[in-house]
Amino acid sequence: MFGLKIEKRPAPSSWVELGISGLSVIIALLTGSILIWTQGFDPLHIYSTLFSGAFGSFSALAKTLTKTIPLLLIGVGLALAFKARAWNIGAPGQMIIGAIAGTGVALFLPFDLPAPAHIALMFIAGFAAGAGFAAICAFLNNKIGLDMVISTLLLNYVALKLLLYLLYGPWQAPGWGFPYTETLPASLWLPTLAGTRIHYPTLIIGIVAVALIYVLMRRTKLGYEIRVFGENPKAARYAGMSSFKIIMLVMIISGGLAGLAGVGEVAGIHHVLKQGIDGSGLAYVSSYGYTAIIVAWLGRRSALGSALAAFFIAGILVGGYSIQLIEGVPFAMVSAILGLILISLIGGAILARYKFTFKRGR
Amino acid sequence: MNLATWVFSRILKRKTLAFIIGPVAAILLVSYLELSGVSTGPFLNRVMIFATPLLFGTLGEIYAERSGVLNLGIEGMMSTGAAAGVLGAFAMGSAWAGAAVGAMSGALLAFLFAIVVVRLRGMQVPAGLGLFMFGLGLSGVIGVAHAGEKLPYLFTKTPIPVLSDIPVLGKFLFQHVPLVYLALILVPIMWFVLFKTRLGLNIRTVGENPAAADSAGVNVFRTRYLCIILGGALAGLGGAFFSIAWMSYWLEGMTAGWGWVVIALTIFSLWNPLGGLLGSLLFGGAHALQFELQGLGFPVHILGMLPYLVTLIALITLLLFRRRLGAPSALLKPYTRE
Repeated sequence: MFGLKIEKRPAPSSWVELGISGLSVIIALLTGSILIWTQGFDPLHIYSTLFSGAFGSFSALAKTLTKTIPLLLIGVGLALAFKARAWNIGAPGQMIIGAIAGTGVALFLPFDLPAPAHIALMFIAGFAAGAGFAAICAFLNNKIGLDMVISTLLLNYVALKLLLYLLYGPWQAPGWGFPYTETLPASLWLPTLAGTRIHYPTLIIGIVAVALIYVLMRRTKLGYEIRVFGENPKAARYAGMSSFKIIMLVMIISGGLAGLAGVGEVAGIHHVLKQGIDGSGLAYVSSYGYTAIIVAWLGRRSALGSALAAFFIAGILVGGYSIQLIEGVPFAMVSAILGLILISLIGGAILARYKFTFKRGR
Repeated sequence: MNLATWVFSRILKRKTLAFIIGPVAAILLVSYLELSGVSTGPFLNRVMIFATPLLFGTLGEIYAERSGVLNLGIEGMMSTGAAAGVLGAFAMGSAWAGAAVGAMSGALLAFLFAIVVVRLRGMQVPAGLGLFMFGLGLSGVIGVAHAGEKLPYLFTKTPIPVLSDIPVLGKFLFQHVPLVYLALILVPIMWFVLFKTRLGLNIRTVGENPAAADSAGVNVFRTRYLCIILGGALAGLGGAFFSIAWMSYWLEGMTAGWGWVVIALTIFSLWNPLGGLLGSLLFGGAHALQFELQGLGFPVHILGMLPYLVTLIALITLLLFRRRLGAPSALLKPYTRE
């Protein structure tokens, strides 16, 4: 006789965490293959095109790494916020506001600066704008108890409308009538690795952010407080931790990093401010700010995990474009599969808390 | 206590007050405009149309949250409902069939969500976000075949005899497609079930204190499944309203974040279907107002912020007046019998 035994697991090891992430991705891909099959495509062929389009060649890897940059910056910030259960769903808006601020500094600075200082100022402005946008929500949450999911989300649409207003109004480049700003002066373009669009200064900022957040979470008292607060806010308050300080801090960091990602996209890739600067298409769901939510969960809300997850998810995005181009699979399929990954990650989290073992009994 | 004092004491209660000030102000404004010769009928008619998909979604989400489950995936279920509704209408050649298919698609997605948050006890916020992304993606996948295609099977406007002849009010409430009436009828029904019946008491107990409900013999898991699925069906129906009753075609991203407004309106409603009606009309009004103001030369995109800002400001105002909104106590907490 075999019996299924369920017991609580004390604290899951990193290997268990990694296993759960892997399993969730596999479940999501299998479920997604049903969806692909119902649309008359061969799932195996689609997946092989997707992954070779993402990781199969040097140029594919370069594209993937380019898309990793914003996902890494936003994802690691969200990992920190989610660790404290500060539900920052406003990264798309924070990214747009950051891009707007960075572009503003690039185009409309009233005095001259040497290019490196000017670029630094763009990033600082982007960070400040994104952080400020997120801080509004943290403030409202603490002072009057407004749910942060709601405030961050509604502000996403406010930021999007503000971007459209600027692009069709005061910031529109004269002449062409396209919803673009003027091109940034070439001195303010971020350098890229030869032959690719990998704007490495932003990548370096991202890697530094990962390292700093890793140290913050693992080696400091503040990081400990954030973790305790996320696990059990009541206990944290009894222990005298300030919820306002923690929420405000993680919101400022995650919002600011999203703002940096926005500046990176403007200065590193597009060199203009335009719609879709946050990676979104029509439906807005493909914004890096939303995709990074999956990055944070796939990386088990840890700094290093999010970095790996950012690379993987960026690969799926890049591969998504190639299956759209080569096979004609709508890009929405990728959004659907990414959503499935998040759902199965959350459903699979139960495996981290409970051990399922088959026991031979009498 | 006679009726007059009872009514008066109810009015003086703060909670009721919030529900009364808004409508009274609206009625005064409308009467003023009508008296000064402005026809408000067509405007109010649009307000009700805009409010309907939100009303469907909010009514459903109120039930889900009352049972202790926050489903953030409304936007996803609405999008899928809009796309599936069009597919259903094309396949079966009837608008009603399309609406039914839309509702069923929302219910199916909600069932998936329910498995994750009720059975597997997953965290509700990220699971809902996953549902949002999945639903929006799914709508793009299934809808692409009919994107932008004009739907020949639409709901027709059916004015209600006699009532539709009432000045202003008739144009506002009684000259619509049947789905609008369905939404309006659901408001008192769902209010009655939630607050005046055994079933409603069970749902509210499951959301406030699931352990107590369980020991009283209420099946917590089944109640939550049912409420989540009901919420999904109504969100799907709200989505189908977009494509079948309102626009008469499907486009990717056509629900434009209204599913998120539903989440805000559910808080604004104080988890009460009557409040849901008020909130939906408020957002519908703000949305309709931007088209009126466009004519006066305000920038389009700044006006586009209006509905979202109005929702945000409404919530902030509410919170300034009531420190505790009375959200279901067990909201966000998975139930387990350990």
